[in-house]
Amino acid sequence: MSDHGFGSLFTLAWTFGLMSLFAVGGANAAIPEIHRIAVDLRHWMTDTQFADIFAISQLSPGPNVLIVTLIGYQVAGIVGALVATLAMCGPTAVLAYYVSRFLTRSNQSPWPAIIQAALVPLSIGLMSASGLILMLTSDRSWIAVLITAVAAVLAYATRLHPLWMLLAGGCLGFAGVV
Amino acid sequence: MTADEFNETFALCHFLPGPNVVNLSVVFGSRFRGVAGGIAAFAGLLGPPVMIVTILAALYARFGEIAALQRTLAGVSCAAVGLMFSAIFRMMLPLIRKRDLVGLALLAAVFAAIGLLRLPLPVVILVALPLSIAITFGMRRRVAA
Repeated sequence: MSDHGFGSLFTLAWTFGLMSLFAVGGANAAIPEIHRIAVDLRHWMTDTQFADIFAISQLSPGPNVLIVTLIGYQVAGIVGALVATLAMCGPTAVLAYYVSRFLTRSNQSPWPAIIQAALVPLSIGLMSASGLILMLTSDRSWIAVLITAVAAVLAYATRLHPLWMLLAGGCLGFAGVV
Repeated sequence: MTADEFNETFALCHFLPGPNVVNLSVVFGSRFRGVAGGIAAFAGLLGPPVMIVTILAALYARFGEIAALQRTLAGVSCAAVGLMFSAIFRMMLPLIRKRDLVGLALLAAVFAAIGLLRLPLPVVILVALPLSIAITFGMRRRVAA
């Protein structure tokens, strides 16, 4: 992977910096937007590569915002990975710092609770769109859809650790079932 | 930090945009040591995983074409999507139990705008958020009155 120069770093920085400010509900809620920009708009990667990168990010330890690190690397190597991660996390971290200081000073306002309640349906809507986009990129056969369905039911109904389901999915994939 | 303070901070970081866990760690760190604590928490939370993921990204760039690896990752992502659906359903359940039709309608509208129409995220949020705040505010006043 070659360094695509300053231009692509700048694009990464403002793409993810801007996106983070609208990423209501965290990184998983931003997945449709990440996919729209990385695959449809900028052609940084194919659908399959996007699904692969999502899989790697879910296998990795740490916060799920790391999908952005992987995309940054794909675009512009190690520097791209750092720029994308900082752009996605930095601005909102600064915002969180100032808002938390402001709120500890004026604790009586009803607005935080109202805004929080107003955001709930939006973030679940965004997450649902993430589910759809990821299903369209990942589930390319009926067996794949079945694996997704079984994982969803097991995750909902049992206390099985998620990593076991990811590993089981990986084993089935390796065996050529998917 | 007391349990109440933690819950308050946790709630705060859930309504701020961006990666929640990162925001939470920064606010948490800054409560102890100001800006330096915030930066330390930010670096501490992100540093090690970013290093690991960057190594994985390099390996993927090098070996991503290998068919067995592609098959394996495809299997992992199928399962990961399932986990996400379970998480979405858990979050949706309170809205369904409360028969919060307005909330569910907003949810469906955002889903359609982003997932089906593939509209840009900023546009959708800039329309949906004021609308949702106005509706929430109006309903709370009606309940209070």
